[in-house]
Amino acid sequence: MNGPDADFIIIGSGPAGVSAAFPLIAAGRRVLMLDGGDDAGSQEESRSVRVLGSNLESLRTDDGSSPKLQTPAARGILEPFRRQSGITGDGFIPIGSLARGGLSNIWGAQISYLDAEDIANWPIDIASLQRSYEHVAKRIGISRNADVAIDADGEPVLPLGATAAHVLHRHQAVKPADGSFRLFPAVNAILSAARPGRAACDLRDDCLYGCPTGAIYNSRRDLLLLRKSPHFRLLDNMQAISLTHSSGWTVGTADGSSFSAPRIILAAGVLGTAALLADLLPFGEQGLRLLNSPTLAVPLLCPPRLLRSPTPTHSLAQLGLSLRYGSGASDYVTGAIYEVGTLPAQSFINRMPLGRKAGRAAFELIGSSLLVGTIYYPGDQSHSYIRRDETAGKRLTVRGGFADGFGLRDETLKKMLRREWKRLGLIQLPGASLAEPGIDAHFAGTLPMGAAGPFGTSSDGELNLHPGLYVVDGSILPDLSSKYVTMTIMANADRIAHRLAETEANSAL
Amino acid sequence: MAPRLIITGSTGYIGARLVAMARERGFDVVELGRRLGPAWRIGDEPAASDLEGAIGLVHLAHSWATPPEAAEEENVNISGTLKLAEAAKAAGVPRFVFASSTSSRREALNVYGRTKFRIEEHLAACKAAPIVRIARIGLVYGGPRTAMYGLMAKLAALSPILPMIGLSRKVQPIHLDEVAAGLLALATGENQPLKTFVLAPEKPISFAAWLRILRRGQGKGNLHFIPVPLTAALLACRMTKLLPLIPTVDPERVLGLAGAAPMESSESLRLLKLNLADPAPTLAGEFGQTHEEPSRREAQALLRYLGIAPTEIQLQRLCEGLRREGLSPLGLSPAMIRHPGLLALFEPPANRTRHRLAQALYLADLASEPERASGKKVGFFGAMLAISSDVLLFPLRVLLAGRYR
Ligand SMILES: Cc1cc2nc3c(=O)[nH]c(=O)nc-3n(C[C@H](O)[C@H](O)[C@H](O)COP(=O)(O)OP(=O)(O)OC[C@H]3O[C@@H](n4cnc5c(N)ncnc54)[C@H](O)[C@@H]3O)c2cc1C
Repeated sequence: MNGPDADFIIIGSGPAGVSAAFPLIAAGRRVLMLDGGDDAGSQEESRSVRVLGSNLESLRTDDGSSPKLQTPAARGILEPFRRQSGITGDGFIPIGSLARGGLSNIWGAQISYLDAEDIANWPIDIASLQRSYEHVAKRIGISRNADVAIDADGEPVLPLGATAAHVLHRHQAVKPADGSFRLFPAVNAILSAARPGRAACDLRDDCLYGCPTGAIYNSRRDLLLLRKSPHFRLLDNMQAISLTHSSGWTVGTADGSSFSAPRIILAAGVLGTAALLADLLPFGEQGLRLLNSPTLAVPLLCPPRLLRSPTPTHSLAQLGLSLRYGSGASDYVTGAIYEVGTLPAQSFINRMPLGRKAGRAAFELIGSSLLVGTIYYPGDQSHSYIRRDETAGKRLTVRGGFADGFGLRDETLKKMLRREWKRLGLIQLPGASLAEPGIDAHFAGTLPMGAAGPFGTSSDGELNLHPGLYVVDGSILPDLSSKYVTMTIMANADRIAHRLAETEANSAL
Repeated sequence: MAPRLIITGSTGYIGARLVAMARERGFDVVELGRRLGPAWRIGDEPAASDLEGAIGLVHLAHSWATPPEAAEEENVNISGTLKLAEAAKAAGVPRFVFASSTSSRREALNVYGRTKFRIEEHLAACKAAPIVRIARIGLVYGGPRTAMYGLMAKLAALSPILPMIGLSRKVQPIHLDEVAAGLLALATGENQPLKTFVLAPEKPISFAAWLRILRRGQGKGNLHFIPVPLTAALLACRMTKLLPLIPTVDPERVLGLAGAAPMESSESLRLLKLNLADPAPTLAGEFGQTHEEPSRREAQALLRYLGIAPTEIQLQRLCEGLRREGLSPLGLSPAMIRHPGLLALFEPPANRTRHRLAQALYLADLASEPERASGKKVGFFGAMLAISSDVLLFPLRVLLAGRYR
């Protein structure tokens, strides 16, 4: 047998995979990264192609999901996974990618940080996570939306949309009844100042169609940096389909190749990782628990902003919010507020009971005063399981649902939200909707750190009973708060990779 | 010297295509017909000099002038065919292909089917029998919209609701090119053991399904039927003769349809190496081509309706989008194309995503999107006008929206 292909094989080039790669390479480890997709095409295309798709993909009827998931860029990212992963949904929309850069090609770049209370049940301390948050933040570039020139921490800021600014001022002027509601300028992984290889945000407000300047973080850009290292190798179109252990680990791929290394790091995204482990895990009757965030969308009208034109800004989240709905540590929701005027008009016109001509006129009339709030519940409000269909071989089905008593909590929350909208001078329009489980794309908790038994992992993400097999994506987060999850996935992957680089270095001595 | 092929009825729907195909493949085609070189009409004694040296003869000519129930010796289709077959045999032509029909049956409801059956019987018993090949042809479609095919295409496109008989009757549609290829193979092929061949797809479909394919192929929406009893249909046929503007339907055709019953064709298709195409995409392609111009005008109207002065690139995008989504042509009336504002009377709400006009306008909106970011907006009064007229016209639109469904 030949020697190992690398010290580590990382499967997946999304945010988790690249975050694990950097510390290992810095420590001089040889890393081979396999990705099931390839370069999903250059983004330097004309606006026409980005809006319509090179194949006119977006000339199709609206399927009712979020505008983000309908853009031509998104189809290229999501469809290969849909076809090849063997994962289907039952009351659940399984969202995953098989493209270089994973879902960060289409994500919303909203950033949240967990605090000590959020990770009370994790087998790690907050200081180690915070160190990694800093590493990641420095690498990817994070800015705030504010209507002041420079924010308190000296981070560069982006201009806040005028309607969002209006709402934020109102929030500051009219204090909330209690401390349960917070509203603040959103924190996004968007560059407000250029850096090598990436330009600053040009406020062109069509972010949903992909960011041609590279201002929005996409782990595909990190791969360019990684590839400069002689210790790093990336192989595209290498969909891992099997993992076998003898003296080390061997990865078999869909095209029949195999690669081996003493240690494997799984970063295929929560669903991709579960599919890869299908043969190693005793799924059982109930299946594998999957945490996801039930998601609510609420259209809002800001009357004082009627008939004004939108101001130039990016079209991702403008404001962040959070609201407590219970007394438990995780009993809060997190959300974002988008300005509709900067989003593609069609997605809204398609939902109006008006003709298209009148619908567009209406959109132009009130678009700049329209906001959409998206609200995420914590993962304990979901009730989703990944099951293995024994009759169909390796195929997995995700069955989605909500936790017991969710309906009641949802009603309470909506009531509290209505109170806050009123305080902010916003009118909630009809059309609020709870999304089908899975649409949130915030998945976690299948193989929690610190749990015993075949579905648990060590605090370093090493899968119980399978030494040398590490998981660094959202699978190992023991619980899922309502906060945006990717920054934490990246920080945790960074933390684990530092630990692996250290212990490896020690054992090599 | 090019091999010689004789074709009667060469100016007809099938004949014209067969002649073209045979010439393309290098045959020296002699056309026998009323208006052609060797003037001949069915019933005439053909000149031996015209027949000699030919490798095959395809007999497609059929006279509709014979009184329906004429006695056999007076039915020129029967006597004329026999006369032609025997002359061919005498002149040493090795193959005589008779174009019959899948409606050929002793008990067929229509005269046409019964006549074809009697001709087949006579041919089997006559002196020419050894050189005779019978081709029972299914429902022919494709190519120029004439004959029975043209009539069906027109009917299917006429209205979303059709009174119709025999909807569950099975038909076997075969493309004109496939028929021509089959006939050519029969007239020129060396050793075909069967005497009677069936040129029709193996899997019959219902007549209703067929009309729907014809309607969809022309870029129109779904088709609904009101089943009609045969007697009423025959009466209606007589009425069509009296009414202006709508296609006239010969009761013969209706009877032919009512009496149709599928025939087994797999063995024939295998022998003739015919691999039949799926009619739906074939038709969509054919209709698409001929509708290029109208669909461009429609695209223009849709964009103008949305308040956009279309640029070349937007038009191109929209035409392509409409074609790909099977929405072209929509069948907008000429008045609508001239005055796109009239679309306001027919436009369904945008959230009716299954409605064809709603879909087309969605495409128009998307097709113009890339350039619109910087475009001028309607302004307050324009917008209020558009919205209030939309709301006021709502009941009317609900009534009329069906038109372009
Ligand atoms: C529309 C949308 C908006 C979002 N917005 C936000 C947001 O605002 N904030 C936020 O925090 N999060 C957001 N997310 C979620 C975020 O995208 C994910 O949390 C994040 O991408 C997860 O990173 P990952 O590396 O774990 O997995 P992924 O990004 O899914 O990457 C997985 C990688 O593994 C590869 N892969 C998968 N299977 C295999 C295999 N068998 N073999 C080889 N390679 C494989 C894939 O090609 C891919 O490169 C959003 C997601 C979506 C879809």
